[in-house]
Amino acid sequence: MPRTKKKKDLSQQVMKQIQKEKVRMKPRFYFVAGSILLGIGLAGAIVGAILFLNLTFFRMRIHGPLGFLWFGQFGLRPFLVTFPWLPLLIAVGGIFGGISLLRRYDISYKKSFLGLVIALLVLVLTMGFVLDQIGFNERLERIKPLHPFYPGHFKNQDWVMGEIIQIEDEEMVISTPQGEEVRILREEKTLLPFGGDFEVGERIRGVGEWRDDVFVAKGIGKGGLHWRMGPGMEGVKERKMLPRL
Amino acid sequence: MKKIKSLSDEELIELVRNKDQELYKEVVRRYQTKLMRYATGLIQDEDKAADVVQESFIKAFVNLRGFNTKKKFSSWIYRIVHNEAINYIKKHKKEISLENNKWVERAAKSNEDVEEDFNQKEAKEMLYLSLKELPLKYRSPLVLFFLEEKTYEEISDVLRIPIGTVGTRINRGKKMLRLIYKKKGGEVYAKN
Repeated sequence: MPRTKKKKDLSQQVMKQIQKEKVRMKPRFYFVAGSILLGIGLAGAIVGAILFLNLTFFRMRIHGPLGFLWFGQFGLRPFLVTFPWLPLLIAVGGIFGGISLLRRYDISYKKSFLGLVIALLVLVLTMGFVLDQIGFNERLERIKPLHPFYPGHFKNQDWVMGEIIQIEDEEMVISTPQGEEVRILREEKTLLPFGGDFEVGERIRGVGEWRDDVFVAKGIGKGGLHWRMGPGMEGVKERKMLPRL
Repeated sequence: MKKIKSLSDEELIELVRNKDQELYKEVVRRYQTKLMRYATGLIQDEDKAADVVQESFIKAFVNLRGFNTKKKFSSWIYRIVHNEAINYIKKHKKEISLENNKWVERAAKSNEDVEEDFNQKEAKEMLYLSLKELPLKYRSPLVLFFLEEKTYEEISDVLRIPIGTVGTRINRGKKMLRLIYKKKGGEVYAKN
């Protein structure tokens, strides 16, 4: 390291520069506002991450998108459609945003940063899970402005899900949680990854295609569907008593 | 009013902020030598280090109202110089010799038995001779510890790393110093 040869007096130069360029101190308000915005940003990122992760858990619970993968190629599109990509992406963004804002706080380097990250993850995951378990989403989905976040559809062009209300040899009728009845036709080559014994009251999912009003199943499976009955979803129980086909 | 010279840094900053900005000259006087030494240790060029320190003093002045006088001013100003120096190094990577010797990092992380115990004077000498070859990550804590005589806590505040990491980097850095010094053929301080 080169040792200082001659001492330069920087004080004159610094003061000259301050006066010449009219350098001014930033007002105190600037720093106070910065701290407040940082706090709001951190809180917003964490709350956002919790809410969107909770939404992810909700959508995973009611649609069980991974269950579609049991049907191989027929289940791929339904999986891609029902998997909550956007809420999950926003939740992950919120977590990363929270972590990057946390780094700006003085405490972040005095504690183990890995510990802080783990604590943040545990908080977000736990809160997200608990909110979903206490029926937070079932309440929110009734609020009209929030409907875009809760696409409560249980049938689409190539998949359908609901509770069995009637069974015949080749056919069964299910009721979606919103009370829509769907007639499902089972063919010989229909995939049944969990067996073919179905009972009234069981929740199932089917992949296939529509032929007029009948859904022709390429695969039928049960399990992984955990929606709760709430307002607008009472249809199933009432329709259980319908006469058999 | 107390004489300016006898004021603590933090008291002086209060005066600069609220009464007389001209007193900032005294702040610069108090710190210029130390900060020049630190910046030169990182950048390895005295003229460039002077520019960095001058720019840091201006930046510190602009942000002076953001400094919390309950904390140590010295850590705050060192932190600004550290950031400015690192930015400068990143910006002028090609011009600045950064002999990031991978061998020394590997060797220091290995279990190779290297005598690390040396006193402040020995360490200073070794630092002057080997600093250029020391990876930047270890250069800062070693300069702050041996040349600036900062405590682990102060180094932690300047570099914004946990105290445990400061200790690890200093210990590993000492090992590296010894290895670099040995490689250069210097055995003056190598203990038998």
